[in-house]
Amino acid sequence: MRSPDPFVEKVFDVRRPELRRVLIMSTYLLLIIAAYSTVKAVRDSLFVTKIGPEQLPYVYLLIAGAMGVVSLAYTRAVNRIGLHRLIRTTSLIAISNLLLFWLGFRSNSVIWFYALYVWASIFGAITASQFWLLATHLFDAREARRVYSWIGVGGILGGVLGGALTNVVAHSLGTEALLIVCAGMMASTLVLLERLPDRKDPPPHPQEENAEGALFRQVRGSRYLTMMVLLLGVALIVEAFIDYQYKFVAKGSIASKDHLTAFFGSVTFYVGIASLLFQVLMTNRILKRFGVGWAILLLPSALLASLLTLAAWPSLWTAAALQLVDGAFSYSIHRSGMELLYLPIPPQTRNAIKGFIDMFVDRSGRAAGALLLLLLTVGLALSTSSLSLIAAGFVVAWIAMAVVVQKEYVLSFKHAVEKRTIEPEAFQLRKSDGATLKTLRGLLSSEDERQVLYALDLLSAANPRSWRGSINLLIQHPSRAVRARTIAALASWNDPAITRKEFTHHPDLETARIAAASALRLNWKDLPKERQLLNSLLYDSSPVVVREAIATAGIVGYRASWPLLIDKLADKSLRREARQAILKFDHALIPELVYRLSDNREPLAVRKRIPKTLALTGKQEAADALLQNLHRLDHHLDYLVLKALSKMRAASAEIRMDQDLVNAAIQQESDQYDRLRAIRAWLEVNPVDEKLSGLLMRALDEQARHRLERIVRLVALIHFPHDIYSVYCTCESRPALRPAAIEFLDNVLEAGLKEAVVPLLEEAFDPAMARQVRHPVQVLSLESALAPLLAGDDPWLKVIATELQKRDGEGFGERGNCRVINYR
Amino acid sequence: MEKDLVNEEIVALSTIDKVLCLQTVDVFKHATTEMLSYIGSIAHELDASKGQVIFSEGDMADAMYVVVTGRVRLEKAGQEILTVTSGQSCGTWALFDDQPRVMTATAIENVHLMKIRSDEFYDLLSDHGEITRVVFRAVIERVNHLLGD
Repeated sequence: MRSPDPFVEKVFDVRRPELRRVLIMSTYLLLIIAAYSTVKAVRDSLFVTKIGPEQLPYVYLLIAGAMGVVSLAYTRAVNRIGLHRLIRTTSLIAISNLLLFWLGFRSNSVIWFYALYVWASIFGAITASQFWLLATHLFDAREARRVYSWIGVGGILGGVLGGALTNVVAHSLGTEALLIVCAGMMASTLVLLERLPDRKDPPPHPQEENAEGALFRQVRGSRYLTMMVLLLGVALIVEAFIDYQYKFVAKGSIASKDHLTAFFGSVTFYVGIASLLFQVLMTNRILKRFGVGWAILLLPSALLASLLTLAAWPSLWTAAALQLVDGAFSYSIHRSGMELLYLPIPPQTRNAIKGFIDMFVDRSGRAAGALLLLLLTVGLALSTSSLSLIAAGFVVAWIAMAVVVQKEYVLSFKHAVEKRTIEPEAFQLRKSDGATLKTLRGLLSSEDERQVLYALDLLSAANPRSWRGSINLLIQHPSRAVRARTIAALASWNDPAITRKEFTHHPDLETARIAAASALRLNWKDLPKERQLLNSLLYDSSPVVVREAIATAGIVGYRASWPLLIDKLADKSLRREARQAILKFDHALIPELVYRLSDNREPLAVRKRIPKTLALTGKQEAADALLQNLHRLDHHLDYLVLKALSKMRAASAEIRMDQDLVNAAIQQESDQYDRLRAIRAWLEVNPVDEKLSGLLMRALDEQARHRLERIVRLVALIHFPHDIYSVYCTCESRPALRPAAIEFLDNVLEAGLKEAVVPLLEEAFDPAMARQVRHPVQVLSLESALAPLLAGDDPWLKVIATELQKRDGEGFGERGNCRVINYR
Repeated sequence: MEKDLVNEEIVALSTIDKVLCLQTVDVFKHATTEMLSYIGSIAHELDASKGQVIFSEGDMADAMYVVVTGRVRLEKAGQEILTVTSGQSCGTWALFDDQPRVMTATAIENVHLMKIRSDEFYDLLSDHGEITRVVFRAVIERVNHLLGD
């Protein structure tokens, strides 16, 4: 019953089957980030001291160009040789290149400094992209939401490790020796990758001739992908500005190569520490409580403040602070949030899209950033403060785009769920043409009663003008049913033919009364004799007469008929007409209906029909009254009230539900759900009577599922019902889409509701989790297990509990001591 | 129309006992336990002694039977087709089709039965639409299974 790793699950929110994958991936990220941050410090220090920071915009352009070549090869390689093999190959190439650079720097040729700068950028982009690509295949959407932040911790520790190593080794062995350390770290990743439990490559998809063009069209065709590209592009421009300013200011303050390397290492170290603290204390909470939207907004917001500070006070410390802010958020919440943005993309195209966006946007963004910097520094010779203000302008655009992307992210999940929703088939009626009408008129003279009735049913949809010639024949028809149907068809069109004496004085008295009941509505003046006649017809012994009288009462607004109309809701044969008549009274009958719904003396058969009738009014007043009655009526009636509310909400977006009342109802249902699960769990451990316990457990399962359905209905009252029901149906019938469905829900519900509903849905449909109990519910004995059922409102559970209690009193025989369970 | 096996109706089973028995009946397999209690409420209990014919081939079918205890032999043209034991049903199609019986059911030993009359069953369905849905689901599954065979 207990979770196998309660500590890990509770504290880290990582489940047992995920633990191995999380640990390996965290360590893998630690190593590649450590290697990258180390080689980056080496590259930066060597470049700015040997070549000079003024040349940085040119090298940014070189990087953008080189990225173009690499991205082309990379996107094809992923599909051709598989992700795992590609990662291994990349690591081996990186190790050999690092050794080559170490040897190359002995020659002191400037070409090596440019080459290392470009190489380090490509190395960082490829390894990080490969890592997150691997991660999205190893974890589904729900797992990703929980574990990405912990995997991200590995990356941050990598930054800390890289920074510390850089600081120490640069001082002791010199800057160039760090390249050997990096080669060692990359070699370790090769060993680690072999230990991944699921090493199957994601299924390859056919590479098109013009794949890049196709991807470009796909990105352009999707508003979501386009916005992602724009956001990433602007972020890269800002990053180029920050990088340039940071290095420019650092070189101006520190002259020694090794000291500069150590300074870069120190900043990286502190960035790592800050990222770690944020990741551990905040990232998961923000992602779970506020979702992706906040996660991708934090970095630009903090950068905006830092850039404005640098513009006001340009110095080594404000530049370092800007770098610290950039690094701290980039490697923690921002990275996790940005990776989540890829999840709504179908897995078949995610590889290629991600590769394309990472590479294409990276090179375009860098190129744009480099060109802008060239223009502003070489062309306009702007100061650090001016550059900061311009960068701040870009950050404002970034924030606006992040807001749009967050909205598109939610919509993408919604579409994914909706596409798989089976929609009800729509039927279209053909318009009657002349030939059809002629055929139907011919049928009216048939000797077969069923054929005549069928033709009348169809013709009743058309104006009686088209079959008036048959009326005399129909009045004289030997079948009472045909005569009655004829009157009903004419009456539905308010045709004055029903007032003819052939109808109202028909020799068959029932036909005459039917005609009288229908004719009353044509000339109603509310005279005493009309009321008297209608009263007598409403209580006629013939249901057909009563049916017509009810219709008339509704049409003429005969208030004295209210009690009868409500009573007739219990009568299967007259319910439809009674409901239609009631609806004709609009608002007026709602208070009476509500009163009779809540009146215990009223027959249950009548009360059961009132909620739907109230729903059909479509009035806010009816919705308010139904909501007020929620959880105040007996078990079955209460469910009908909830169904009626669902119906109203689904029928009209204008109907508003009191959010506080609904939230309180959800809480109540959630408590009931937990209680049922706790009792069931107790019974499973302490079976008291095999058959009876089994029956009770089954009934508890059924009732828990019923409670879940009620919770979903309640949530749908205060959100878009179609979305909520789509999520529920997907969870019930399509396990493969469950994570995406719940992820969507996670993004549309507000924090409090999300905390109550999302875990419940996750647990209810996960067989492993369904055996756990969510909240502390203490069940100590059979008596305490049965007590809530005996006192509860569910009559069926009460029946089983009473029987179980009775048999317990008689003694079940050998059952030993009951175990006491303290559910967490 | 089949005649009753006994003059006096026996009431030996509680609602719970009826549900426990009905939950193994194929046509009610998708019904919740609460739905089974409603079905149980229209089930009449009957006894048949060893050798007694419960229904005969050619009789008009108007009810299904659930064996509570004992065994019932089903035969067609004198050939045994199946033996129905505790928790199983016979004559189920009578609920959906009022055609003459195609088999004869005979008690092999003293049996206790639950009889569900089709007219009462339809009344129940008209009051409980949710039962109609689950019964239809089981019937469709059964038909699909037969077609597959």
